[in-house]
Amino acid sequence: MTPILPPRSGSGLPLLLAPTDRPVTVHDIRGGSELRTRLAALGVYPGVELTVISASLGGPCIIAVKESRLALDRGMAHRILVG
Amino acid sequence: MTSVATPAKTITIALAGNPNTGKTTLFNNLTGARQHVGNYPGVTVEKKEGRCRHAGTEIHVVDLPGVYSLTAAAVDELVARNYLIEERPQVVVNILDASNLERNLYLTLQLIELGQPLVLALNMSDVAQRRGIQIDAARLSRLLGAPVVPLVSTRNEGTRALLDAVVAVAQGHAPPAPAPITYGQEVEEEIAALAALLAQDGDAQHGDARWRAIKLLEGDEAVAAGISAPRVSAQVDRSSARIEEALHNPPEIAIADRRYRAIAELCRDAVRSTPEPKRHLSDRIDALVTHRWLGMPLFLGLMYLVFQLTFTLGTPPMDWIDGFFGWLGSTVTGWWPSGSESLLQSLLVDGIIAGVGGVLVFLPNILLLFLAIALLEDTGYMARAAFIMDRLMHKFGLHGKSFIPFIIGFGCSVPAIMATRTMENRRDRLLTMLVVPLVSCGARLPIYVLLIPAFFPHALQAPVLWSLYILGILLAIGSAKLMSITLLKGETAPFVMELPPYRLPTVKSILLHMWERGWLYLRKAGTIILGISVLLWVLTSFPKKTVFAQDYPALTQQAQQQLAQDQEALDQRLQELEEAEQAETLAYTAAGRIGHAMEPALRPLGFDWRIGTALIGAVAAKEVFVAQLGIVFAVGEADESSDSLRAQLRKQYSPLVAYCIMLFCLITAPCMATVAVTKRESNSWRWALLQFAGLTALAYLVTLIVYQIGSRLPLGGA
Repeated sequence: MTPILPPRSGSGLPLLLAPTDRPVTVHDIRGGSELRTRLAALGVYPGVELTVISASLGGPCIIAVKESRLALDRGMAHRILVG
Repeated sequence: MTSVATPAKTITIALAGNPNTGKTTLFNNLTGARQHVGNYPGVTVEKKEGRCRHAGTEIHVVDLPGVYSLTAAAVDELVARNYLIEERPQVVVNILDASNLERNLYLTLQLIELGQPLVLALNMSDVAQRRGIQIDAARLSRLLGAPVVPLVSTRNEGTRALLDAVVAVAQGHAPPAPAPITYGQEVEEEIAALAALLAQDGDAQHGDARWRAIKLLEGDEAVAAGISAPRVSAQVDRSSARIEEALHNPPEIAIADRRYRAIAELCRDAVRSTPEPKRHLSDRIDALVTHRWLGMPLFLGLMYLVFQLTFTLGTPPMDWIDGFFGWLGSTVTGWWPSGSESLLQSLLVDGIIAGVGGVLVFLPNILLLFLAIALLEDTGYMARAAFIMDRLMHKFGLHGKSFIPFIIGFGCSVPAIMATRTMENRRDRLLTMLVVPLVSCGARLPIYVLLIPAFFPHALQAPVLWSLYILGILLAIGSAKLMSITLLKGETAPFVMELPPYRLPTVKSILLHMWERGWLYLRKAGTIILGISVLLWVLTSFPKKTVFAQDYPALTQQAQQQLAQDQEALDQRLQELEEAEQAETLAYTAAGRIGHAMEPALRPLGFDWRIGTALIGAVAAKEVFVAQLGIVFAVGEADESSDSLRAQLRKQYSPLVAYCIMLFCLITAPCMATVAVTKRESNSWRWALLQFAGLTALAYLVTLIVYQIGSRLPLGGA
């Protein structure tokens, strides 16, 4: 566990372009507070580690975060910045 | 409090938890058949309530909607939250998926923050154990200040222990409350400042000051709407800016981060998990099911299977029911000696038995379809279907999640429209809601099943049926596209959805699921359809014609004398006379007059006044169309029911007209129940009326085109 919350960097790769089957860390989520609280409730928030387990080119993808599997569409995968 | 606890007579408990944690199974285990399904006031979120008895206590159980959190962003979450705050149940049972504890505890922390007596039910303990996750229930209980009971709801294990804990907590024997979760100095300072302001203003509605302060910082719109003092909103802005500056993150992220940190700490203390392969069986299935190329064909194949099963397995029981009502009709007819037929007989046989029977015949199909839908839902495939369809749906301005209402819509539009509430964005919801009635529902099936075998050769029957379903879907996505570029412009909300692990559903839960929906259909047949059948019978029976244009008895006699030698010609003549008399009788009745008044508008579609009267009934409920046709062709026939309804229809109409009838019924105005639920869900008559008028216009247009073109083609057969 990191001692402090990493600062919001605004940098990172959109999840869309992340490699599959390799853990990545969420840097930032582009969107309003409503979207961020919604994603946080599903376990996706800056600092968390997740793995893309299936992605079709430019389309929706499935990620593993904690013990759950989430399906994200292209738009959502664009908003999540990882590194 | 007295030292000897006096058992409470009746307590109310609420079940709260994430979706897919087995909450419904637990609810069924607790309450058995003693359930009641209603709605939360003002919204159409389903409210399930039930009762059970344990240790001398009568327990009233309320099943809250499955939620991940208690924000105001989704209707379900707001409903669950408001229920907890306003109704204050004595105990909240938080059901957790033990194999996904961290994410599930996020809701638990928020429930603790609400300050209500809590019992934690650790469900799917067996799955967790198989995955090498060991949870120290006693330690977790100490850390969270609530009893923790391991549970395997699918095998009904641990239910008694859970009830013991619930009763104990209701009697005040709860473990000491834990230290409240703190959000770190920067955030806590702002919470304190805001809470102080809120306390000064003194309106204590919607929870205490600290809780409201946290919600305001999280950007909660429902709490913000309840704040009138401008200085509070000014403080929220100031606090948010300060947190953002100090932590380089917006407050809602800082708060979520702290919660997950607290959870991680809890789990370090109370959970031991042995390293295990990251890929579960579920992931391996998903690799195939959601595969880029294989996913879609697999999905279409499954859908085909569903329909195939619905129809092939449904046929024998349908024949039994059909046979039963046929027998019932002739038995009841037999109560009156020939020649003494009365109005009461006609009401019973032509009105009630023909009407209700005509609708009940389709119960097997409906049950099988709902069975298939329950299977798809409970195994976890439905969520994958939404994922697979997402890309395609996007092209039409819809949403991956729109697909679930579409599939449920094959059963009935009403639950389908209610299922749109999982969509967060109002535009997406409205769009889906408005076009869902185009998906051919179970109530339209009776119309197809009546007409298709009557008019089409066996080889063509399945393709004709398929063409209707496919057309419905095409029209639905086409209208959605049209509206998304005109009336409802805007972006579709980004899609995120949990894919629950694949699960072998229990027979009990599947059957219960199917029965709940099937029962609605049965109840409709017993109430609305019975009522409408009687009403339609009255309309098709009165006023009675006494003076006819021709003297039928005399003409009959004359024919019998003139054509005594030629049996075939005689039969034909008698038939003509009978039909003419029947038509004249019907035309004189109220229904006949309405139908005739409508005929000029319907003739371009190939419809006559009889279909017109049946269409009026169909507005109340689509199944009534069949009942009404049955009544129209049965009334005036008095004793001789040698011709089945199908044979009579075949005499009257061409296959093209039959297809046009089905087409019109597929598209036209949704039934009353659908209009009502659209009004409630969209919260405006405007959208409900637009849906009603728009679909009727579309039905007219499409049928007009098909009939006009079809009747000019040589194969039209018109």
